[in-house]
Amino acid sequence: MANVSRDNGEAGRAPAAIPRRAFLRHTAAAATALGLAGTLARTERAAATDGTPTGPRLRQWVMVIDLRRCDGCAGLALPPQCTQFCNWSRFVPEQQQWLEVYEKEIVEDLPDSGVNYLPAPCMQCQNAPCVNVCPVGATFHTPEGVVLIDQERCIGCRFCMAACPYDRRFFNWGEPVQPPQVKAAPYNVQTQTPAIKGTVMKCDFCTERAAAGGLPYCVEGCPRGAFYMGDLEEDIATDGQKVVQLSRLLRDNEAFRYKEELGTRPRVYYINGHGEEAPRATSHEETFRKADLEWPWVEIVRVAEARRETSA
Amino acid sequence: MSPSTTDPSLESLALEPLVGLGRRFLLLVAGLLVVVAIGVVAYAVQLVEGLQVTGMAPTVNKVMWGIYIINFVFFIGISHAGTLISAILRVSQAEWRRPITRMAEFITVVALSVGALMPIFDLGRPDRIPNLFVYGRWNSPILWDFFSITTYLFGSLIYLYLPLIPDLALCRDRLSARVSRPKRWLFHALAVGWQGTPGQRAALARALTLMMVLIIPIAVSVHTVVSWIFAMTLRIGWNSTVFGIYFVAGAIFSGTATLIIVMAILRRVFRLRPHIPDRQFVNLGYLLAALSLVMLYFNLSEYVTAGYKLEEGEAAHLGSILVGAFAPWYWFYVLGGLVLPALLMLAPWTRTFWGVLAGAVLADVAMWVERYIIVISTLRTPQMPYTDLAAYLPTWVELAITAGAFALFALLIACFAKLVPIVSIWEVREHEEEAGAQPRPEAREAVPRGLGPAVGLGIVVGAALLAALLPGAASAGGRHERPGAGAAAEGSAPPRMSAPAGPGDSTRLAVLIAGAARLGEPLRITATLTTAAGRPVPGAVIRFLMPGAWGEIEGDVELGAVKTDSAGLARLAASARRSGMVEIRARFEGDGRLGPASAAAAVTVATGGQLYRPKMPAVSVRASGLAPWLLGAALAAVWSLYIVVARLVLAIARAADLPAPAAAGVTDVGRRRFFRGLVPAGMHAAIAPVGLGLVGVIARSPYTHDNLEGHRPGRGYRRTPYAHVGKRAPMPPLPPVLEREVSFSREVLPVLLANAGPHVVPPKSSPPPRGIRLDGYDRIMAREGLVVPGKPERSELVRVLVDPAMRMPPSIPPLPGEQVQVIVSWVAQGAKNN
Repeated sequence: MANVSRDNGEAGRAPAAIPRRAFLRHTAAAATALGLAGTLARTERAAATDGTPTGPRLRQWVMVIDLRRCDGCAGLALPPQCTQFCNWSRFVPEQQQWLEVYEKEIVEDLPDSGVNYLPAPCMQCQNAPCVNVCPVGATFHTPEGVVLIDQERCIGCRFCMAACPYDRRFFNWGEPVQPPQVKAAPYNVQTQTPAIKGTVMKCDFCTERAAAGGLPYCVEGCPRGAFYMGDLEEDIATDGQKVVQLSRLLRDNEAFRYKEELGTRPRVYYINGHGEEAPRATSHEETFRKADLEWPWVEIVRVAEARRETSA
Repeated sequence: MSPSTTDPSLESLALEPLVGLGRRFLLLVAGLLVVVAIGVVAYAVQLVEGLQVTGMAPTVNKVMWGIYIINFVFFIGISHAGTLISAILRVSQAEWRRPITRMAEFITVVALSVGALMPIFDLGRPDRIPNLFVYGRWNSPILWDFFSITTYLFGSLIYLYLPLIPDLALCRDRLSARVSRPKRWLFHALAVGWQGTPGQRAALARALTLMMVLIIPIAVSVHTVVSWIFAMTLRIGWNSTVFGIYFVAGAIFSGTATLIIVMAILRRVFRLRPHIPDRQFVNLGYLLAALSLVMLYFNLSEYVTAGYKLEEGEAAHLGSILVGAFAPWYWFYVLGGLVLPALLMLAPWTRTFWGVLAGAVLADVAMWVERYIIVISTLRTPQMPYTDLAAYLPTWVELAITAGAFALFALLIACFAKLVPIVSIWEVREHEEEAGAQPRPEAREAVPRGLGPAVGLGIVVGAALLAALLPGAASAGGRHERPGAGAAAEGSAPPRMSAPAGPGDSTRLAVLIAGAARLGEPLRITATLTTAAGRPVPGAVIRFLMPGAWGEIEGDVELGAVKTDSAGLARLAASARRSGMVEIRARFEGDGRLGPASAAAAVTVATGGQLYRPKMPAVSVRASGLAPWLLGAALAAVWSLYIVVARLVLAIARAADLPAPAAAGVTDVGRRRFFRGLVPAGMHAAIAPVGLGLVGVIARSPYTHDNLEGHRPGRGYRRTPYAHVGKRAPMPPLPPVLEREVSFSREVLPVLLANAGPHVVPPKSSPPPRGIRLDGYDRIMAREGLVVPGKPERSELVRVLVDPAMRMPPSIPPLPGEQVQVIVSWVAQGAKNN
């Protein structure tokens, strides 16, 4: 070959430490990458000004849960209605509880101190571990501060589930059972319908309702009125009956956030209590009926399918 | 190459297996293929049914990672065998590594390939793998895995291939007559015309030096980022800063153990005992023992510090490992896998081949168990107030896929061993020659020349740092957005007085609002309470109210209740969070002596920008700025160096101008040149696009995501409608009323029965939502406000179908337009029971 590398064959001349062309090439490659970097830095800043919505002020959703009013619906001898309403309304797949009510003893090892109940929706963390680790950005923040999941992008690696310190994310291990009209509807990221096999789902603060001036199903369905839906931007909150100033509600009741020390900066505040404001018949004999939660359309769909199979 | 003066039996022993396929080999391959096939069938079942066929599903989302991830970490771990033996020992010029480097390099490449498959088996949507490239987020640990494993795989392949070149040339020269034609072509292509000329040797030495220095940090990075899959979460047991180095030590440990086992098998099968004496195993055994002591130290460090403090949750986790459900596994791992191998090397009577082999087998099994403990024990430690639920039990699908993976590992090694010599013949010879002769000039010069690439790398990385710092510093300054606070403007609205009312001693209240009438600025409200005669009333509680609304819920928001001072003044400062006309009402409820009074004042608040912006931390390794450019520069530098190596291989190919020996089997010069050029061309064709692709994923990343910082939506981000303050989506217009008469029983009721869920099929444990039943005319009409005959716009039943704010549980799914029209028409026509 005529253009044999000059490095070899020329006797007596010590070859270059790195072939010159190779050095230039690899610097050029790196420089191209940096050039790209420079362009990107500029374009990113440009996007910053036209990407963020300016002008009309955006809601910044927040939830306040008053634990003085929550008794886990044990005093009503019902399964937690907040979870039940959420299950019905979102066609939550079986065994998933996007809003889950936990029962915990108030003082460790003192059974007479009783239990209190902790309804835990997705905390919509501002420093969300799930958003940080997602490899494809399937879970993301909306400008209103809510964390959503694009189930058409999710690859089902479940890293977000491992990262969530509140156990608030759920996976569709098989084909989720939902009514046929839900399955046939076009995919909507705001309502997470229809549920897609092999993807992750969670509480989404019912933003399509809240944005229209309504309330999430848990807020509406709680028979004790323990939930407030609020907006940090307008500094306002409501429990479905009355409207209050959010900052005052949080300050006057010394509201706290769960596992705040982890630095997740959640958007769900709690007002400490043990259900003392929930009217109850008895205090110790109620039972927490979480095991009676239903996913009723599962039964409906199964019965319908069985009927179809026997008739077919 | 000149005929060697060394022991010919090494050559014949190493080359003989490459000729022909024995019956034993075919049986082995057949058996392994059967196991692999079972694994493939199991995966097919999983693809069809979903991951519910695994043992992770019954744990109700608590154990969401299982045996696939355990295998992933294990296989990537044992892939560090090659790096340690080949690279570190080569760098430190430890000569005893020479006969075993090739086996080590095999293991690396095969283990990486099998390990990289494992996360794919774990994915819920493997059909969406392209999303990793198209939408990959550079700041996700999974992407770091992807980058570093790909880089390491390519690096190990190169590093396996380079020392193979002289041996492949030997195969080409000695075996061409005895192997099939495709194999002959393979040798020709892979040998890239090696003839042992000084120029070729120099190029090979340079390439090897470059790779051996480069591959060490790459390998360290690989298992570090694998450990960060766990350590970047907040889970108890994973949330540890020591994971990076702990995993790397464990990887080298399990890699050494695997190497011992594979070496023992291959030495037996290929009868290489004279060339791989027991001494080699003892040396590796010392290495194993040293590493086991390091692992013991890490265990001590981790669990003593955690167990001393016993933070919330740590006690449960530690208990489960030391004395609880995982105790048998853990103590087997520590005593059987760490202490025993060290003891076996300590006692002289077990410091034999069999002792070392036993230690290695124990160590490998124990390291798999260690990965199991790390993954599962943490996932079974509750993060919320519940007691631990179902245990994780792998199903046949997971076990079959695992068995298939191990079979694939063995199969690939067996096939490699049949394709290329498993002992690096030329390196052993080189050492033997050196031991008897002068040190070769090329070998000496190779060391200083190794600095050349390092200098180039340093210049590139330094330039990258410098260039990256500039945009990073500039953006850091500009990125902190200041809240929309402007200078406090003066302004006050004229006070408005209203007449007091009420019995008793009447009082009068006056309200004044001072302060800026700008959004976010505090409104200073002063209320003055006086008696009718004008005397101030101290100590009275004045409530300040402001009308507020959430959708249709309207009411007075209490801003505060303040006591008047001695001058009868009550002061409150509240920031204006609503623009437009804001009315503040003050109210005195009155006590026994004094009558109530109220007053109001209005102020117009100018519109403004967003008040609440979540503050982003000042420093974050995740934020864009410096970090992605550093990562991109590092990747670009490494892949550029791969191209440098590819160029060196091309130089070897081009330097082969001497006529090849006649027995080479490919006589036509043009054909020879073609074969010689295949591999260098292939290397360039593989390295360049992959390297550019990886950097491209980083570069593209900011555009497809919203979640880097500051809520900046990227291009691929799925937008949802924005929710604005003060704006409410209007109720969409009702569909027009149908002309014809709509029948309740035939048209309306069936729609309700089909769609209204728990309103028509009451659940067993709960009442229907809000107590509303829709499964009969009487039930519907009995509920006040549900249906207002003749007025669909005031009927709740219609509103929940149409108004997005009121979509009632159970979320009667958006009904088709015709069905909504039917119901609207029925209500408009008087809601008759027809």
